[in-house]
Amino acid sequence: MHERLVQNSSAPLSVPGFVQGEVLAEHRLARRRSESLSQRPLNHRLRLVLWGLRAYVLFMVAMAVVNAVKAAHG
Amino acid sequence: MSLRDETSEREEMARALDRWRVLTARRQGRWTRVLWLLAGPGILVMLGENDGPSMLSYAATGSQFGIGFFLPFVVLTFAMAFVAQEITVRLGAATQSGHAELIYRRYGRFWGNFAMVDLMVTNFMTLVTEFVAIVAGASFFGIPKVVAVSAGVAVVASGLALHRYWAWERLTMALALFNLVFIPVAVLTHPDWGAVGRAMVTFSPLPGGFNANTVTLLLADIGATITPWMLFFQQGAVSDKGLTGQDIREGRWDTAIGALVAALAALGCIVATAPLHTHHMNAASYNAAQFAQALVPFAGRWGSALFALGVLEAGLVASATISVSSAYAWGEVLGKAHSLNRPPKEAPGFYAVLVGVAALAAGVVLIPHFPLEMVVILVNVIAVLTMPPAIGFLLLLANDPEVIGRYRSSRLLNVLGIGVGCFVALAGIVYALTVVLPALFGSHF
Repeated sequence: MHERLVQNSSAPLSVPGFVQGEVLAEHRLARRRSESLSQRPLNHRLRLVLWGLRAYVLFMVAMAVVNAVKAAHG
Repeated sequence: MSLRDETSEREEMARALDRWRVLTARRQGRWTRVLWLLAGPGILVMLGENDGPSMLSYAATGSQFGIGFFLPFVVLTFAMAFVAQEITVRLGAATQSGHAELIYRRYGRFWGNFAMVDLMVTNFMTLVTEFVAIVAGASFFGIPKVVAVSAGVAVVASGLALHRYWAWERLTMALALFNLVFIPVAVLTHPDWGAVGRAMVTFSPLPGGFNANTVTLLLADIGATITPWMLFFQQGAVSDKGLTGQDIREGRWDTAIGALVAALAALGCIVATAPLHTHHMNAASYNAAQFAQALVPFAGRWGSALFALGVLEAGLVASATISVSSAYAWGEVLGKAHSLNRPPKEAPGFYAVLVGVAALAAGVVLIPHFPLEMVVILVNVIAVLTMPPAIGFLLLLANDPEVIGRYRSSRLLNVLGIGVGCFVALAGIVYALTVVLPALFGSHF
């Protein structure tokens, strides 16, 4: 019966409450843990790496645009 | 901004039914059925990345370099994609959260906004090129531009009608299998299989050596397999599908199978267009339809029609998966409902973003004289250039015990992950050198 319900996306979905609680227990636990995550303080080294990567992206994208404009007009 | 999202009764029920089937199959010891039920995000992300611009990059590679260095190189890029995507399986299963949500929660809005800008810009540019591919593929069959883009938007909008992750995933996977048509096209061109085998082992020949053009295609081929949207899509799909910690093994298999199938399709495309190199046809500025036409003498009418069909499919599947990745990220960041298991009335914003970005990209393709060629040139390259920060956040999250718990990366996985990040960053730097100091690459090195 569950198989048929799953195959047909327009059919009303139903599963006994105790089954739902059992099969989704791990999900609910994981969600609760994720929702309780707080912001991680970044140390100086990590901050430097992230800024470096950001500068890399900006510089490289500028290069790519220059190259594409050259290619389009070449 | 609120990252808290309430899950609806229907969404929970749909996920519970999916879990019920998986647990039943596990209890019965039917591993292949478990794999069948859990496969999807990995196969879709890999075949989705074999998109319009990617297939065009592979076609350009085959036509300019023939059978040689780029065959094993493309396999290497898929191996790197597997390393990055495997992490998203663990993150999604361990946290039941999307990638954007975790970045915002752990690193705050400032860094999260950077990641989102990268994602949204590259996603939108890529979506535009998917519609360019759809139009190009459809034009081979005489389908008008407006009809082609409307069909593309309709495929993306199928999520609205299905409002069930499972049904959407299976439909999109069925469509994605058409990516394999590049393999029969390659067979129809009667390639020298001995040369293919030798190239795979020796990484040669590389006609012309490493010059600026080689580096650009190298970067485009990396961009054809490793891009930011893949991280956001697969992690979102893994949590929407409901994989848990005990499903990580199957999630890895799903990703590996996807990488293998997508690599075969990519190799098929390169081998299929290699005769253009052998016969010295200048295909440097061909679009997808021109490639299909040029293949008629080598692969026949059927072969070239299959090639055009493959390009059309590549655009359709990728437009669906990339739109979904944008919608997942939007919902995660704003804390709005974001699941394909919900009906549109329960997640109006999610579906509005899903269809809206696709419709907008489709509209851009219809604008007369829009510089689409420039977008196509830029898209894979920019995707690679925005990848190092994305890999940085991926590795940080995968090593954060509070986030991923016991599924954190091992030393080996970290070495591989850092290796992929460094390789992608170095490829970008070499590319920049070809722009700043083109004379350096005028002669071979």
